[in-house]
Amino acid sequence: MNRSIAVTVNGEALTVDIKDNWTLFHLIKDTLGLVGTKDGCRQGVCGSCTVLVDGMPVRSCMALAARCDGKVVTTIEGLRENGELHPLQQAFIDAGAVQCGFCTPGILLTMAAYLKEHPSPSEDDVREALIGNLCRCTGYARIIRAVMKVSAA
Amino acid sequence: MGVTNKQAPSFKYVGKPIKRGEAVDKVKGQWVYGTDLVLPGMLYAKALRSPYPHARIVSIDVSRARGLVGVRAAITGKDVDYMFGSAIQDEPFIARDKVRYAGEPVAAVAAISEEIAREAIDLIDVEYEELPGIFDPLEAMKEGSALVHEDLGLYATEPTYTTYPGTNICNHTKIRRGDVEQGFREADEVYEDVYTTQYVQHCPLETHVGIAQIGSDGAVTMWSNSQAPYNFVRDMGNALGLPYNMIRVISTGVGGGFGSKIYLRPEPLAVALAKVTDGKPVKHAFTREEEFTSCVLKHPTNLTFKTGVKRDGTLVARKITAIFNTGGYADTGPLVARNGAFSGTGPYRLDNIWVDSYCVYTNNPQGGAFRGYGVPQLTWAHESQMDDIARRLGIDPVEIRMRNLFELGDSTCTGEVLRTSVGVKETLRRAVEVSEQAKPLPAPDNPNVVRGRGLATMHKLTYTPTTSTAIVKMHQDGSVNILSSTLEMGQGIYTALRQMVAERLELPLEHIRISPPDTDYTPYDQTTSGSRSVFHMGNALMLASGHLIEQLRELAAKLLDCPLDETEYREGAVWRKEANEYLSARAIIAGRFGPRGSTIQGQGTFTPPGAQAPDKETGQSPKVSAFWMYATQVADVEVDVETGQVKVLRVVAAHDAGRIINPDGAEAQIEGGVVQGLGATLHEEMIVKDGIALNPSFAEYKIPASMDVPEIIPVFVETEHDEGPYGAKGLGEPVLAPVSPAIANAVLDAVGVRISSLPITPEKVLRALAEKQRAAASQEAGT
Repeated sequence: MNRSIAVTVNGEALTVDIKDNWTLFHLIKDTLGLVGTKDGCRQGVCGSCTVLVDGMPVRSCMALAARCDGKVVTTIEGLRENGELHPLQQAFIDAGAVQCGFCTPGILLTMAAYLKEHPSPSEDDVREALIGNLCRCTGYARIIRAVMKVSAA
Repeated sequence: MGVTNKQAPSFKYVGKPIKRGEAVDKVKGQWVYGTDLVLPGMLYAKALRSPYPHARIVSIDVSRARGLVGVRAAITGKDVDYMFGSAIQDEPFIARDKVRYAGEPVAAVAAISEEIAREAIDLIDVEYEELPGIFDPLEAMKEGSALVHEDLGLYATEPTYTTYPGTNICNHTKIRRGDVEQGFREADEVYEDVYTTQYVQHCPLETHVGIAQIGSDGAVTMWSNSQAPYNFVRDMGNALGLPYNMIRVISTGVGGGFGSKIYLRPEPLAVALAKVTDGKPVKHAFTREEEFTSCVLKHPTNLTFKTGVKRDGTLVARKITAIFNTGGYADTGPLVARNGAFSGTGPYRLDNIWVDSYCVYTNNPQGGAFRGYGVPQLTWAHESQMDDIARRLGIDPVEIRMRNLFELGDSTCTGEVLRTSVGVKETLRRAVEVSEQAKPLPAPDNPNVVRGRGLATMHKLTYTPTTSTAIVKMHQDGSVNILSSTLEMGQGIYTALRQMVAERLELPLEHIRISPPDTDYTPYDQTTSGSRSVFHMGNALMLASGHLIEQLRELAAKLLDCPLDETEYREGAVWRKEANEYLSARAIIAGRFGPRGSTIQGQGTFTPPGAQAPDKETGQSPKVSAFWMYATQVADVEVDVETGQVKVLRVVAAHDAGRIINPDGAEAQIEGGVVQGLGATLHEEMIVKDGIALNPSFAEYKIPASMDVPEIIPVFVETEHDEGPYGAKGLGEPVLAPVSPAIANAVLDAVGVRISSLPITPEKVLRALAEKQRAAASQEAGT
C-alpha cells in the first residue's frame, strides 16, 4: 500500500509518497538521499542509524516511515545550526572522538538529545546514556570526554 | 592522558597531536562510505546461501526468480567459471558442485531494488545432498580424514606456502633452530601446556560492500570499502585471467576493517552478476548476519607449548604446535598461520626452537586476518605459559621476563639478528612503573571480589617484503597532493602521512592534501594492514618528497644560473646558498613551464632493504620483518568468586612503536585496540556447532559497549628505528594482542586459576574455582 505523509525533515516541511512497509531509514536514505544516516546492523542494536523524531532518538532501521506522519525528523545533516557545527560536533573533532566515523552520526544525535534533557550529567551518566550506540574503533573514552566537555561548557 | 618518555626534537608536525583532517566530514555525515554509494542504473545483488556446512548441490532452479518483475539476472555456479583466493585460488565465485561451509553462496540475483532481490532469493529452489561434515581441525589433520578440498594441489598457490594435497592441510610453516630435544634434556624442567582461542568477528560497524561494473571492453571497475585496493586488482585479475590494467578499484570511505576487508569477499558475486547485466553497476552489500557467517573471522586455534627452562627461569627450548582452523576456504589463513608462527616463541632469547604451524581446512566459517595475523593467538599462549612457568618455579612474572627478553643483538626464532629499535624491556619496565604509580583503585564494594594484577609482553613482525609507492604532486601554486593507495579506515593514517610530508617539505600542513585511492591513478601499495603503513608508505613519501625537492632544485639552478650544489630547498622555495636570493616553487614552475605552469611529480618506491623470504624447511632468514614492534600491558582485574565474573579495572599499555608521529592518534589506537581485545577476552565468541553459527547478530554476539570499558593508560617507549621515517615503526595491531593474556594472568594472580581457553567466561572461572577447591580438599584428605 502507498500513502502520503507530511513530515518535517531538518526543518523542511515535506509531503512524501511512501509504501507502508518502508522503514524511516529507507525514507531518509534512499528516498531523501540523506546519506549521513548509517546502517550498521538493521536490527536495531548498534545505534548507527539513530535519528531524532520530535527530538527523541529513534532507530530509523526499526521505525516505520508511516508512523512519522506529522512528525519532526532530524538527521545528522540537520544537527548544524545556521551552517555552524553543533558544539558536540566540534568537541568530537577536538577530542579525537572520531575514528572510522561510521557510528559518529548516530552517537552525535543520541548525545545531542541527551544533553538537551540532562545539561549537566556526570561521566557515569554519559557512559550509561551511550550504551545503545556501538563503536568498534575508539573504545568510547574520547567520545565520553567530548560529551563532558560540551556539558561543562 | 598518555604518558611518553621523551620529548620529540624540534619538529613542526612530527610528534605533534594534530587533529585528523577528515573528522569534519565525518561529524557532518558527509564522508561517503561504500554503503552510501548509489550509481546511475545500479542493481542490487543478493546471494542465496547454503544452510548446510558440507553438501553436494544436486540441482538448482532459478527460473522462478528470473521471472520476477524487476529481476535482471539470476545465476548459479554453473554460470561462472572463476576461482579466487589470495593465498590459494580455491574458492569459486559461486559454489559449483558442493558447498564447504554454511553461508556459502549457491546462487545470486541482481534486481532493481534490494527488496526485489530479497524476494527473488526466496524463489530459488535448491536440492542438496548432505555430506558428513569435518569440523574438528585436529581430526581433519589426521591421515585418512575426509577432504574439504579434493583438488588441493591443482589450485594456483603462492610459493610462500606448503600445502599437502590429499589432506586438509593448506599450509605448514616450520621453524627449526638449534636442537630442541637436546635443549629439553639440558633443561631443569619441561612443561607442556595447551591453550586455545575462539571465533571472534571483526565487527566493523560498516559491513562489506562491493560494487562492480563491466565496461564494453571487459574492463572491471569495483567501488569498494576495502583496506587493500591493489590486492583486489591482483586477486580479481588472477581470477578472471585479465591483465591488471583492466581492473580498477575505486576506494570509498571505510567504516572500520581490522583485517576483515583485505581480501575479496562480496566482490566476486558482484562481478559475476555485473558480467550478465549489460554494463550496469551491481552492488553487493553484506548484511550483519553475512558478516558473521560468510565473511572471515579470527581463527580458532589450538596451541600446544612445550617449554624447557632452567630453575632460574632461563628459557632453554621451546616446541610449538599451532593449529589454525581456517574453515571451508583458505582466504589468507596460510599467511595467518605463518606470521603467527614467526612470532610464536615470543620476544625471548631461545636457542632451541621447533615450531609447526598448520592451517587446516574444515567445514566451518572462514578464518582470516584479524588485527595481528595470528600473532594475538600465539601471544595468548606464550604469555599464559610464561606466567604458568613463573608460578611453578616460584619466580616473579616480571623477573622471568626480564631474564629472557630481547636486547639489541639477540636473534628472533627466525634467526634475524635485531640491530635496531628493541625497546621491549623498556615497555615492561614502564608498564609496571606506571601501573604502580597510578592512583590507587577504589576499594571493592563487594566482599566476594578478589583483585589481581597480570601482565603480558609481546612482539610482532610485519609481513615482509612488501612495497609502497607514492607520488607527491606539486601544483603550479606550490600546494601538494599525496597520491597513495593507503586507506584511511579510522586509524588516522591520512593525518600521519600528511604530517610526515609537511615536515619533509617544510610546508604548512593545510597545503598537503590526500584523497582515497583509485588504482587507475594512485600507485601501488601492498595493503593497509600489518601495522605497515607509517613505516612503508611513510618511507615511500619521504623518497617521493626528496625526488620532488631534487627536481625543484634542478630547475631552480637553471633559472638562477648557478651550480646545483649551490642550491638549497627550504620551506617551499629554493635558495641560492650564501646569497639572499631564492625562487618560490610557484616561480620555479612558472619559470620552467610558462605562466600556466604544470604539476611536478616526485615519486618514491620503498621496499625494506635486506629482507629475505625465510627458508621453507627451517623458517630462517636474515631479515623476516621490516621492523619489530613491542609491547607490555598490565591489567588490574577483579574476580567475583561467587559469580565468576571478571571485571577489568585498568589497563596500562606500554608500546614501542618507534617514534610516534601523532601522539593523539596513537593513544586513540591503544584505547580502541585494548577495548577490542577486552571483548575478545571476556565475552566475544561466535559459537559454531557442527558448522552452523548460532549467534550471528549484534543482539547475540556482544561487542564491548560504553559501560564495559576500563581506565586505559597509554605509554609510549619511543625506540627509534634506523630505517623508519623519522624513526617510526607501527602500532595498530600490537595494541590488541597482549590484552587477553594480561587479563588471564591477572585472574591467575587474583584467584589462582588458569583459564587456558578464550573467552574467560564466568562459567569457566567458576568451574576452575570449583576444581581448585576439590583438588585442595582431596590433597588435604590425603595428608
